[in-house]
Amino acid sequence: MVLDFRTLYQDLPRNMEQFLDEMWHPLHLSQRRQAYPPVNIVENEGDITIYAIVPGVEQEDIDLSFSENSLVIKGERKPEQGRYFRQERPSGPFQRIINFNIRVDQNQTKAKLKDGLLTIVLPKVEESRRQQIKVEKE
Amino acid sequence: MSAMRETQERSLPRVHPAADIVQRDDSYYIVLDMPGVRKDDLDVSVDKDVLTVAAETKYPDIQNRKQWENEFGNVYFVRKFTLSDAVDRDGIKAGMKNGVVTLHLPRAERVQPKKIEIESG
Repeated sequence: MVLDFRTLYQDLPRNMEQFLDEMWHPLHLSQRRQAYPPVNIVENEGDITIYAIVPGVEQEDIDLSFSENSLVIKGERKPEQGRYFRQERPSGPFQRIINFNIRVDQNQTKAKLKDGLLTIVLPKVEESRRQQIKVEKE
Repeated sequence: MSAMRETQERSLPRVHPAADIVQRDDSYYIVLDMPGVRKDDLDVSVDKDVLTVAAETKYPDIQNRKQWENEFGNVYFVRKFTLSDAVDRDGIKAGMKNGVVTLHLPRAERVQPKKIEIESG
């Protein structure tokens, strides 16, 4: 064996700290959820922005499509070539469906991939934007 | 590393990135998932037998925005590996693409398999 993992144990006090941290930190609990890829979704004035973590996935291996008012993120993580000594990184196809309760402009949706982070910007259709209603004086 | 940076890193959760170790063409490769890390922020060092890979993520800030879903946040990735003599320490190279770090660890010359001739006596 070319590498050994004694360092995992040497690092124990820090791991312990991390472990305790994870127990108390709600963010970590949500990170353990099953759905892949993990996403952050925010609503802005004019759009919905989705951030998804997809490390190691090439642009051409990501497939984004709409199914009614849902966005389908599909992709595949390819395994490394060679003889494995250790395998922790999951590989294979994945799919996640994101539902919207407001209408988004499917034709104007844009996506980009950088540093393993997929950013998808879905503009709201005009009727979904907040309308300011004028109160008229009598 | 400055004291300032040290403090910042402590405030982020420390996470061990998932790693694969494979052998290919007489070299070893350590592959780590480190999404959200910029190439310039990646810190790879070898101190005696210990190889350390560390970096913090730089995800866009969503703190003050209306959040529908929040499943990940910025972290400080750090992982250490102990190298055996089979690795040529001076030849280690690191690369980064699509949020994945690949470390190339060439095998040290002297541990390449060597056939010993048996002389007939």
